[in-house]
Amino acid sequence: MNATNDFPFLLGLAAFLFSIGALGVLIRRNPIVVFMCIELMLNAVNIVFVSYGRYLNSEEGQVFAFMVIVVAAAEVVVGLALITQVFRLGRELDVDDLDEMSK
Amino acid sequence: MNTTTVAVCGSLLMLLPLAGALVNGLAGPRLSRNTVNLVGTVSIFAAFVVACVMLTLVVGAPASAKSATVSLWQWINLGHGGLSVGVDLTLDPLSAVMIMVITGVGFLIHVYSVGYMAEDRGIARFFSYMNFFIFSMLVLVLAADLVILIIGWALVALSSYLLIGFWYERPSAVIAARKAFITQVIGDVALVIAAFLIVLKVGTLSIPGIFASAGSFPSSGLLVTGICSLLAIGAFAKSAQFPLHTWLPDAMEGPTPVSALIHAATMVTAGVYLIARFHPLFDRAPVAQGMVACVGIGTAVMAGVIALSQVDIKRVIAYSTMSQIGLMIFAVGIGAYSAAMYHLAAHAVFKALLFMAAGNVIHALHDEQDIRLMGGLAARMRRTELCFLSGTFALAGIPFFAGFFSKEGLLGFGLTNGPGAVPWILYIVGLVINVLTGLYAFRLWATVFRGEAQTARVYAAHEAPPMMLGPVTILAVLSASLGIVLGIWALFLHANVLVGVFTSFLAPVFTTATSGPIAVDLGTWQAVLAGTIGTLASLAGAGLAARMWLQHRPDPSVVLERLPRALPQLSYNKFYFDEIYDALLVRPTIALARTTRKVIEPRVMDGWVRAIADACSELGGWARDYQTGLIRDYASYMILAAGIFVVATIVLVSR
Amino acid sequence: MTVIIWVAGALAALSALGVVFSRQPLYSALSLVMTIGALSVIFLVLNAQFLFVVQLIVYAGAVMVLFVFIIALLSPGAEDRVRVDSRFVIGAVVALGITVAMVVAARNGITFNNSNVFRAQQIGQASDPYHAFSFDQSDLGLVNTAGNVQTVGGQLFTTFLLPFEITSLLLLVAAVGAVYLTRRTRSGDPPERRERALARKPEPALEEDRIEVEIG
Repeated sequence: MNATNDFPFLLGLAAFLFSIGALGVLIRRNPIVVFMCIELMLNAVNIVFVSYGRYLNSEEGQVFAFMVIVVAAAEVVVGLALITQVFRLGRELDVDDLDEMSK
Repeated sequence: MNTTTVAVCGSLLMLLPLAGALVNGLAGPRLSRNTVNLVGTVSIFAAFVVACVMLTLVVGAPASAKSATVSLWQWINLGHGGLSVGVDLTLDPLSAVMIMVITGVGFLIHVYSVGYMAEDRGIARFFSYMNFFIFSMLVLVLAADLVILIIGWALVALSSYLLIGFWYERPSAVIAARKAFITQVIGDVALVIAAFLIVLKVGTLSIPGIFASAGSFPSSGLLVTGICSLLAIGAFAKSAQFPLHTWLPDAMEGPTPVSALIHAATMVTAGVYLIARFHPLFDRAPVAQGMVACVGIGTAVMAGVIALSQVDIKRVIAYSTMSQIGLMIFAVGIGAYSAAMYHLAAHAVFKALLFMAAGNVIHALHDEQDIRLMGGLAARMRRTELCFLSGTFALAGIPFFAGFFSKEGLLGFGLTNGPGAVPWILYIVGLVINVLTGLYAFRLWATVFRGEAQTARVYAAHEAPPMMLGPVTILAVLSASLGIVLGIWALFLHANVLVGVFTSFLAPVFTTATSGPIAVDLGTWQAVLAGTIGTLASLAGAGLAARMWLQHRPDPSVVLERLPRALPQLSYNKFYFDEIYDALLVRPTIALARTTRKVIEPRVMDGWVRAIADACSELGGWARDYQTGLIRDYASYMILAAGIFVVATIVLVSR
Repeated sequence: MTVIIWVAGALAALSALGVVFSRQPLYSALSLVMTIGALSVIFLVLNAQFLFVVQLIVYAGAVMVLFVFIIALLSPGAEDRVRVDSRFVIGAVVALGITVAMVVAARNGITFNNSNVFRAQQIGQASDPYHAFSFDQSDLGLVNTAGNVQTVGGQLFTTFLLPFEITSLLLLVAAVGAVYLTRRTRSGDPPERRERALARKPEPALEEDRIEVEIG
């Protein structure tokens, strides 16, 4: 298979997914959805890793993508735990509401 | 002359008054009054003795080596091609005359002020300032380098400020002192600019050096005329000539000994000395000389007219000083250097005498200075009156008194050696000045000492104490006899009596290739005729004054009414110069200062400083608006930056 | 193959839009599952079989399930309108910029490095996972023909052993942290509870001390 044809498409796709994820982080107010957009960004990065690995004939790309998945899983666990605590404290699930950093 | 002797004497001469000033200035409050008086007067007496020694040195020197310049030490040395200034002294007949006058008359004034200031608490400060003044004046006249001369010049201005404003609790005194100082600074500036021009052309500021290269100045050229005009302006400021004359009458706020010292004998003569000293340059700039002569004679007339209507005893004498200095300036302007110096010396004597005698009167009447409130003092202050009369005669140029020889010599020179058709005009103006001088001098005498006592204070007046009367008497004798003494001396020396001792004494100084005769040759019939007519004019003025104010025929008030209104007004108001200067110079400056303080300072200067501070806090305010605390905002900043970074990297890498 | 990539890619892109712009969070979660699936297909086509499986099992199977659980627990029906404000504009502009730049750059070939210079490791046929591999570099297509799991696994346990171990530790820490963060406290925060416990008066040890003899 001739890989050079798909490469630009894959990179473009990754860029698109990444930036859409970023947009999502910016505009959604529900923290869980924000998290999901972050996951989207991580997936886009994974595509880049794997694509490069493929076209540079190295398996390092896949290894690194593996690491990304693991770390993303851990991060999701902790993050959702925090969000759960926020919910339990009776606060609104709204990132605009959680603005203690402004003081 | 032995240079070592000259150096030692010169240094001693300057250091003695300085030492007196330092002792009295620093340790004065701790010393007893007698010690202060002693230090103050003895220092000047010692200086006088040294001055006599220096005079004998000059007299004894051979005719070809009358002038000696010694360098005390090298002050500034900028190497090859750069400026080199040394503390140099020059001892020649001209400076010898000046130091004799300064220390001699100065000593007598110091003795006088022991008595005059006997009840003043600031006596130590007074003598310190007076000694410092003498020191500065000596530096000025002995300087052989223009820089040192300017230093002396400025120190004299400073001393005059300190002395005029001696009674500093009086606001009028402070204002007068400031006025004097500021006017003289104008002269200082002119002098410094002249020094710049000289050093540009000649490369040195040493006076012998300047004169040696005087030939390199193109005759009647713009440069030398400019330099001489600037020097003349400096002289005008010091000698209170038009238009820088307004400080002199106000300077009468100082104590009478100060007026005697500064405004009769020494400071106002510094301008005459300057022009006389720089005669090689002036000889090459006839335009400047003409300007000097015009200013001199114009001031003489103007001051004479003003003196006629003044009612403060010291102010009359002040304007008289202005007038006589005007004559001296006129003399150096037309090249009559010897006559000018002779008149300078004589004037120092009789003007100091007049001031001190007036001081006696003021002291006796307990600080009353208005002559309209005097009169009839002759009976109570006989001796003072006689001395005053001696001075008045000298001032008016009555024959055989001191002023007679000098003045007639002056006017005669104007007639015989003046340029072109102008001599006749100058001579007639000179006659007018003689008449005016006689008029105001005798008016003063008659109003103060004769006639009816105008207030009760006069009845309580008594003769002055010996300390005050002594110097006055000495000066009175001198003013009566100076001319005669010098004439006899001339006979003694087998010198040409007609030419005059002064002239022959000063001749070596003024003899250069381009100068002509420096004094009138009394042998010619024109000179004799000129002198006679001049004397008659003075006598006429004196007689008229005596008639009007002694015998009231005609009564002065009647004459006043007959005159057109403008003339006495102009005279009394000093030709409105103070008002003109106030409107032209003082008010705009004050308005400018007020504008600067009220408008520019708060709005512009503080304004832009505050603007910077405000800009900073504005900036902070804007920056603060970005700290919203919302995660989404922070995230958007990050995304924006990341996006810019990515795109920029791609764009740059692809080039 | 290319077709599969294109179709999967399009699907991923559309689902991504669904993640971001859905009103209900549950729909976002489901869209994300779809995206992950599409991406895993792409991984498969790119000959990353191990990652394909890992992505489906871990990402779609565990992480997304966790998400769905939390959504169901916390905000099942929450609506979240998307407003178009300055942040939206910034994000949209950046998205457009990055995407366009990337595509253009990729097309112009600046990202594809034809000269294979940076390859440090040898790649190829895996046999012994505990030894360093010495693959034949002459055939660069070998990595794509050797078994992918062996290849990736071999690297994981030799060259990248330290990161591997650290990520396992990270998982452990995350699990412990999550448990700790979400435990229910009886009343108030732990510091509060401790103070209250200290302030409590000591109760009598034995019930018997409190029995007053009441007879009769």
